[in-house]
Amino acid sequence: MPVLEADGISVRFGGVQAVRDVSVHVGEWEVVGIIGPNGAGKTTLFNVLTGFQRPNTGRVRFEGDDITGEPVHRRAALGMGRTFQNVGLVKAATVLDNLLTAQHMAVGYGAVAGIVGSSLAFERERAVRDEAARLLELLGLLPVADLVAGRLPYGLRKQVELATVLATHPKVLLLDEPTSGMGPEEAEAFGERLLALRRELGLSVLMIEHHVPLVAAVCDYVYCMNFGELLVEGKPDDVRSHPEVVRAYLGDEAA
Amino acid sequence: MTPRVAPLLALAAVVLVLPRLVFDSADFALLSLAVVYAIVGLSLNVLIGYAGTISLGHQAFVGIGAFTSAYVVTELRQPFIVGVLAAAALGGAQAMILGGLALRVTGLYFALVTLSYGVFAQDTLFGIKAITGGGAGRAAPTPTGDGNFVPYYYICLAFLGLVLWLDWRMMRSKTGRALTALRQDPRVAASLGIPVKAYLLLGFAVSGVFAGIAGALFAHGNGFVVSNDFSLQLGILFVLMTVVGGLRSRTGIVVSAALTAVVPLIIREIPGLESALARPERTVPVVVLVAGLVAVGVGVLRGGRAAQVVGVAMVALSAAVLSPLHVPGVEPQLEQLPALDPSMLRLIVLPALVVMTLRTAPGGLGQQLRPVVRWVCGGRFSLDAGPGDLREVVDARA
Ligand SMILES: Nc1ncnc2c1ncn2[C@@H]1O[C@H](COP(=O)(O)OP(=O)(O)OP(=O)(O)O)[C@@H](O)[C@H]1O
Ligand SMILES: [Mg+2]
Repeated sequence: MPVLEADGISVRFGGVQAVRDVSVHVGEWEVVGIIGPNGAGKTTLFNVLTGFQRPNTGRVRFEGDDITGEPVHRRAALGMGRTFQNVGLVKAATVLDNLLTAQHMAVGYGAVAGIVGSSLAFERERAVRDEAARLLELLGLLPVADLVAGRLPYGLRKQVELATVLATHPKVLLLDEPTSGMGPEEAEAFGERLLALRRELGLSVLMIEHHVPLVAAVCDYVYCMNFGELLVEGKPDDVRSHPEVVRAYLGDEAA
Repeated sequence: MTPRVAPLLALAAVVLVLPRLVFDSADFALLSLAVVYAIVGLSLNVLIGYAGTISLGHQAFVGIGAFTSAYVVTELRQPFIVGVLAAAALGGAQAMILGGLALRVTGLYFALVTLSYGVFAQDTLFGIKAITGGGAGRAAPTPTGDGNFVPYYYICLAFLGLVLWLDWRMMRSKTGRALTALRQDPRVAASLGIPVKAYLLLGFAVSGVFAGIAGALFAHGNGFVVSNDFSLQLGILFVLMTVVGGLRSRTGIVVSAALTAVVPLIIREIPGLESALARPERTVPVVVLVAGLVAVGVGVLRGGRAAQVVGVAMVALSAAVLSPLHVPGVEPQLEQLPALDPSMLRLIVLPALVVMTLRTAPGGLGQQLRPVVRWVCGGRFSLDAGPGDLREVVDARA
């Protein structure tokens, strides 16, 4: 059974058909890539999958259940973790506080208990802090724990964002251009990290990615979008060499 | 960090003992009001500072608390504490209704909604005779006895302590983090599993509870509540004092709100100021003098040559007018001006301070007090502002 599945998704913004009849599916343990030129509708598709955008047509299913009408936070609770193209962090908070924020669902006490300062809340807060420290250590981010997230260099911000998403204990990770701003070596290292995380945490991954070598190295399956439509799908190597894909990326003169 | 004992004791002495030594027992009515204002400031801070929304109708929040408690105590013959609890509950409930609207309209439009809500409350809601006594108002007996404000001041302080505790716990728990996240980026908050709408409503509820408590204390400190106590002017004053205090800074807000409340006392204590205010030919030069001194100060601190020159000119000019020399022709002109009401003075000084806050000291009074607060809390004393989100005042979304 696929973890995440989208069926016949279409999204229209006024005169722009951002996504037209797109179906994708992510199986358990799979790393699936979405490629496509700028404005192809990749982020819009992500917004539909994560609940920020209601599709005009189509259904989204998570572990077999229809979640098309579910709000964003409920999908997060089900196990969907998402990063943003422009880095989704609480910018004025420290890295540590971002990781505490990300454990919102796991804290295990009610909002009112926290406000009145119940002893359970105190106790659970300590556990949440320990978990944050553990995650930061795991990702090598302990040295920046007390720095303000928004003032970190871009690459570090992306790493912190990934740490926060992992802190929500996702079953499927949706990554929107995780290696943007990285050089080829960093991107390669990121790919290895991603495969290791999948092994350790049993994650499935859907990622929008422009680094073609990275896609080829880590993805089990690739979708290529252009002008809101699915152009080609298949194994990375087949998609990469497909003439339609080459033309979409390089323009007509390459065809 | 373990708090330092000596400065905390000093603070306790200033708040608990010093007023007894310095002020008459009659002044304690105003001191109680200062504590009430501090609670109002903390209440507004939850909305503006934490949740990143706005309320220009907070006088209505406070007024609803005031009338609720007055009604519960005089009509239902319940003890004072029941009145306060009822005010807190109703304050929270009405704030959540307004918060429900905030989920639908945002920004300037929501600001307009809160503004109308405040005016509507004063004109209509507080005119319901059965509950508020109509225009005649409603009695709200002081629990410590008529005119006996010294113990009442300490009761108010206890409630301020409670509000500070709740605020502190909230910001150290998942609710505080959720509010911070949804203020800065609701999309990120939602994708981390935070139900954004529910937490925005919770923010309104907490703010309303604080305001309700403040309203009850206000009512029983006055001995009487009338709808005219809760004018738009008061609501604006509340917002100004909160921003000047520094959003998200408990210390700054408490100090700024308390100072705002005791302006009449300060004016009275400064010899000659009160009579001067009643005479515009004296007031205007004094205001110019103060503004000039501020301009010089800011100019020196921030190296602004123009501010220094203008400031010196203002000081010199006003000093000449005020001096026994008299500048011919100026005084008769100034005498034509209307007299300045001390309470209006706040609405002139505070906006000026807000502009200063936003321009030169984002973070407000709280930012200035921060080194001291950190030192008291056991940190090292350093003038460096340090990390933190106090500085983000400017982007407070309406
Ligand atoms: N909220 C919106 N309102 C109107 N149009 C939108 C909106 N969001 C996206 N679009 C349009 O939809 C199309 C697809 O945008 P989308 O951001 O999904 O592309 P993308 O594939 O993620 O591109 P990129 O590689 O640049 O991130 C674009 O034409 C964009 O202008
Ligand atoms: Mg995109």
